[in-house]
Amino acid sequence: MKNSVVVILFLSLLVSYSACKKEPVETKEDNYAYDPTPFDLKLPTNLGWTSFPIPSDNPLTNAGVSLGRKLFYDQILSSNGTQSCATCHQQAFGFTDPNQFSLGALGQVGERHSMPLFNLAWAEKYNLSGHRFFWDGGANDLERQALGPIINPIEMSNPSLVPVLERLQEHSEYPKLFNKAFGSDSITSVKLAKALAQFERTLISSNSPWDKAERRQRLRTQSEINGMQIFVSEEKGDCFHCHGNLSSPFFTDYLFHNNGLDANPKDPGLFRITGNPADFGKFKTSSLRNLAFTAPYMHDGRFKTIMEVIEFYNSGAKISQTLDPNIAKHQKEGGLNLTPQEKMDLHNFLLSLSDSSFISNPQFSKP
Amino acid sequence: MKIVSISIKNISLLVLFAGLLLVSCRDKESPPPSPSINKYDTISNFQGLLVPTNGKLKVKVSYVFGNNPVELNTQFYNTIGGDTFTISLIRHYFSNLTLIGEEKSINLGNYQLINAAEEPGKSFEISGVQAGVYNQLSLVIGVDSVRNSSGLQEGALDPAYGMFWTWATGYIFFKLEGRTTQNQTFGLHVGSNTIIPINTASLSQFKIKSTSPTLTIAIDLKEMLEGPYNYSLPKDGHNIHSPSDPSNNLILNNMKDMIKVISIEG
Repeated sequence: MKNSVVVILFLSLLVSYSACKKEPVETKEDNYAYDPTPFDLKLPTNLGWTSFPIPSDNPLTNAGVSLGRKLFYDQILSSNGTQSCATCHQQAFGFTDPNQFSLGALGQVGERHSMPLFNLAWAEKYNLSGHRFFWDGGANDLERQALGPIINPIEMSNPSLVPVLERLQEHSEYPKLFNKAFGSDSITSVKLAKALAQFERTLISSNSPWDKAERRQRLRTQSEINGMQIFVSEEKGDCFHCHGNLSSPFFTDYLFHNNGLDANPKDPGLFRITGNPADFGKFKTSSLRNLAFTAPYMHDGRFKTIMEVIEFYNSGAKISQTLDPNIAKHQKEGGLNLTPQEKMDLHNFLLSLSDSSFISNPQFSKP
Repeated sequence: MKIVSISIKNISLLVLFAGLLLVSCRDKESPPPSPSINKYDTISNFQGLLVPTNGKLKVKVSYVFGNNPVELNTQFYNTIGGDTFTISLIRHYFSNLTLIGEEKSINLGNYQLINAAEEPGKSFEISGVQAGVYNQLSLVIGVDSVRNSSGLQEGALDPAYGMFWTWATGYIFFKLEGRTTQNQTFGLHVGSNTIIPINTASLSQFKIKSTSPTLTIAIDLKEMLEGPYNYSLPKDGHNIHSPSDPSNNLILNNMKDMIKVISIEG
């Protein structure tokens, strides 16, 4: 009797010991098991925000978004391990580069200013032209866009995607993370692009003072209100034709225009992609959100301040064949002819579109 | 004796009964077979390729330059445009292989990346070919605009194969590279979202009935540089590396009459 009690006690101890010992091993394996749990995408609720299309073959999942975020910040993607996406797309600057031209992995100087990254996914809804991303529309979805800089000779400068995929495949953790996100540890260019695109789709900026005023959480200053009226007035600022009316919270039409920077553009812009002479010198409309962080401005970063941009539209646009008609029509009077006070009001309205919570959101920072 | 005869009678009755039962059972389970089992078996007067049941198609690709077979790196070729060169690389897509018959045509989809330098890369198989008589074949040397402009794909269309423009839209349909007699290299990489080189070839010179035919297709590279536009490397460019290069369209417009089916084996 005594003996059997001892035996039972011993056995139960053994069982509980082995259970304890087994548990952490199991959870570690489980950490990398395929996990299609959907990502809880919190879309803004102000008037005008809508949902955006998500490709049916690349739904947002927690594992996919977190893998994309890790990849976005990992220098493993560049040919010599010196650059990540975040090198030229820094969160503190609205995911652009404060330098006019970014340097490539081997020190090459680029020809266009790095683009800010936020509210990108709506381009796939509002631009149906097939030319959506990059300054010149060279990619038509976020998946394809994500691969461009990796093999661009003046950016991450990999000779092809093959060595990048090999480095990821040989990495101690990436095959497991790809398995978790996509159900297979074999890393392909498609899965790489999908993960990066998933993270990019989550970069939503919707909490500027303008948004707070829309949600009745603050009052607009009188100068902001004046600036807003200039923004929507066809006679005054006439900004809304390209940057959206006030019922659209994106402040871009996601399309391409020649805004009159040069009479003879050096950079052909959208023409490089379409080959259509009517597209010469057209570039993607930037969003007016987060201007406080995303200087310098324009595709070539030629303007250092918001006021320089306002001055340009006020009197500096150059006439050419493909100049946007909404800018051309003001050239008869030599530009917009805003008063100094009107320029200041427009400036204050534009600043109210900058979302400081976006550039400090820990969800988007280096993991 | 009497007993025996009764039992025989009984047995025969039993057999009859059982037989009736069997017949009725069979009647219920499967209706009598229709008089024509397969209409294609009864056709003797056809032209082209007859696939009697769901079949499998094997395609082999070979390259010619006018009347000459293509040999990489060693053989010289001349064009009307005035160039003489060797060819070092031929890589291209094939897609939308379609068998065309009088009653129907079937698009077998099928995206293939063909590399002239690799024997396994020069042939492929497609299953699920529906029964029918086919007297024409068409295919795209490249990728159709739907696949070219939307999403990323695995398989032959994986961008890692380097047949993809990441800074422009879409796939490189065809890469032709080589070296001129002036010792200058050339690389013609072409592709487009609007000019889709659909090629058709006749099958009606054949009379082959097979469930697993092997088609050998010859691709004439001379057509690419001569018909209708006579391409000149010094004038039109030794290199095309973007779909918006005007020379890109010159070549693509030439790529609509490049294929010929040279044999079908049953």
